Amino acid sequence: MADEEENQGPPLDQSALDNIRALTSSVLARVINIYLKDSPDQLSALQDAIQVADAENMAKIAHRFKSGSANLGASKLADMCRTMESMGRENTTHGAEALLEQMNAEYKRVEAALKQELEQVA
Amino acid sequence: VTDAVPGSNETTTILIVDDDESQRVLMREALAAAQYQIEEATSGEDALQNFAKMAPDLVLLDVDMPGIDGYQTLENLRRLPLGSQIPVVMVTGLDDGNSIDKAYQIGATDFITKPLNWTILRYRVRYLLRASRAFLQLQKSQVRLAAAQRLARLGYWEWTPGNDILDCSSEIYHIFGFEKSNRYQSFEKLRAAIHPGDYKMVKQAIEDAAQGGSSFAMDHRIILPSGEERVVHHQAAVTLDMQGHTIDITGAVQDITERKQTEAELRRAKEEIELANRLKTEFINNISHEVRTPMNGVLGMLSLLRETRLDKEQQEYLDTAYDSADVLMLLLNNLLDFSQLDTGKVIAEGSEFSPPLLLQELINDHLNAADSKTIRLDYSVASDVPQEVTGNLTQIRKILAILVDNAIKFTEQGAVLLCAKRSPSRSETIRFEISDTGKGISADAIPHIFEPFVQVDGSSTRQHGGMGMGLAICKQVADNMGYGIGVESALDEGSTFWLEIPCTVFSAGANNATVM
Repeated sequence: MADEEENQGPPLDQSALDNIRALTSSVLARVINIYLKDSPDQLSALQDAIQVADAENMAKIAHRFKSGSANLGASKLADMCRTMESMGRENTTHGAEALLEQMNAEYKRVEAALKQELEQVA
Repeated sequence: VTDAVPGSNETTTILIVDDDESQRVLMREALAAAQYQIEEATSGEDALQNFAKMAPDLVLLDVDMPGIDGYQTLENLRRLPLGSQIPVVMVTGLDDGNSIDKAYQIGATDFITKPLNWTILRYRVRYLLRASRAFLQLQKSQVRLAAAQRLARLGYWEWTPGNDILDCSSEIYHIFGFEKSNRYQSFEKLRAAIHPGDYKMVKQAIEDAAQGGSSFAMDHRIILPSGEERVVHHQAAVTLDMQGHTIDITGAVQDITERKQTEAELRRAKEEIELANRLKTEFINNISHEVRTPMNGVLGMLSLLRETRLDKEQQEYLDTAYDSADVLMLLLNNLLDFSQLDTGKVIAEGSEFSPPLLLQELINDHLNAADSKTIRLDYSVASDVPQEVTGNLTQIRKILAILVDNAIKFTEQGAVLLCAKRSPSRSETIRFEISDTGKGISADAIPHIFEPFVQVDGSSTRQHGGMGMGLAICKQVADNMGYGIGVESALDEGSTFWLEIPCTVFSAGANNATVM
């Protein structure tokens, strides 16, 4: 796991952020704040779903988390969400716990990068 | 650039349906520059429930939502009164072909995938709004056009020669009484509805248009499936290619049955009025004849009575009775003349007569009347007026007698002068003039002076006898004979009535007739 993390590229795809910045500068901060507020809840909701093996719910949450992550250019995290969403649609939570662990780790990187972005905006 | 509807204060409302708050925030922000009114719904249920209230012009609809998903929302939305035509853009991260197919099949207008490019979204929305407005405008125009054509009972068709299929507007179906199936109609069926009596004419015109490229316009009858006969105006124009061959023919058919009926009714009404008028004249004619016979008896007997020995008092009564009977007879004769003129019974026959002699006779006939009012009555004949001319003496004398009679009647003092001369404008025309020193005729009365039952004013009617028919008779006789008649007059200066007759002249002493 640790090895993989070190091989990872930047957590945020800057072109997605530029896409948002092109709208107005203030909206980026707003969207980041919404994302940073919602995401921990999403991750813990995923945790709950996996624990009770609720594949359907897991897929729904992963889908939503994917969409929000993709908007802010967190491509790696969005990919992980997609994988989890597919799992859920195939009605299994098998291996989801391991994936969630990776997602938590990736989210930490994304969170750090987004906070950095916020500071720049401010 | 705003996307408000030009010339209206209406705002354009966009409804964003997405459960993800950050997605809604971003979409709202992306569309903010265009000054749209943005409404948000957090679920499909929310969107459907509040749809009528928000009345959006465009919907951005997320596919994956908790509760009912985007597809189901769209299906329900299309069934709402305001939702059937509205552009709906489906937004999803599922970019596989199947879900795109599904979205279009259930009525999505367009489809965009996440992550969204906000600039593209903005232009996409703008384009779709314009397309949707243009589509609505087109629909409105079509509805208006159809309504106008319906009102005008005007249908059109397009035909490419060589096949049997006509592209018809819906009014064609109404006009021909066909049941509407679709806009394509068998040409043969249309032709079969043409009245057999007109079929050849229409068929020929269409063939000429198809082969020779000639346009046509005609009225013809058609027979509806119900058996009812109607009249249509049928017009067609031909589109030709560069070589002059017919590409297609466009035709317009208008139901003009009611117009034709109205025309026929008007014609019938006119004929009826003319008949009634003729009957009235004949009635007057007959009555006058019937009354004249006993009047002749009365007059005859009165003149016989004159020859008997009467005392002075009896003589006076007799004179009054005779004069009254005479006036009544004159009146009857006028009436009879007028009604005969009206039925066109006067026969124009020429005879030779002498203008000076005619004037002399007229003077003699009216001398008593003039003397009683101490009015001078005289005549003159210009030297270039021939001794003998041809013309209908009876009719000319009738006109001149009335004119002289009138002149004396309306003159209180002075003179009435008769004269004959060559017309100043046309030398082959003899002009008779009767001038008086009466009170004249006002300029606005002159145009009506020859109309029947008109006298110059009400007071004249009381002052002078007669029915106001004299000049009407003159005018009608003159018109029948092709003579010119008219008057020149000034108030308080007198009037000059004139009669112009074209005539063949017999020069004095010469036997050769010369047409002047």
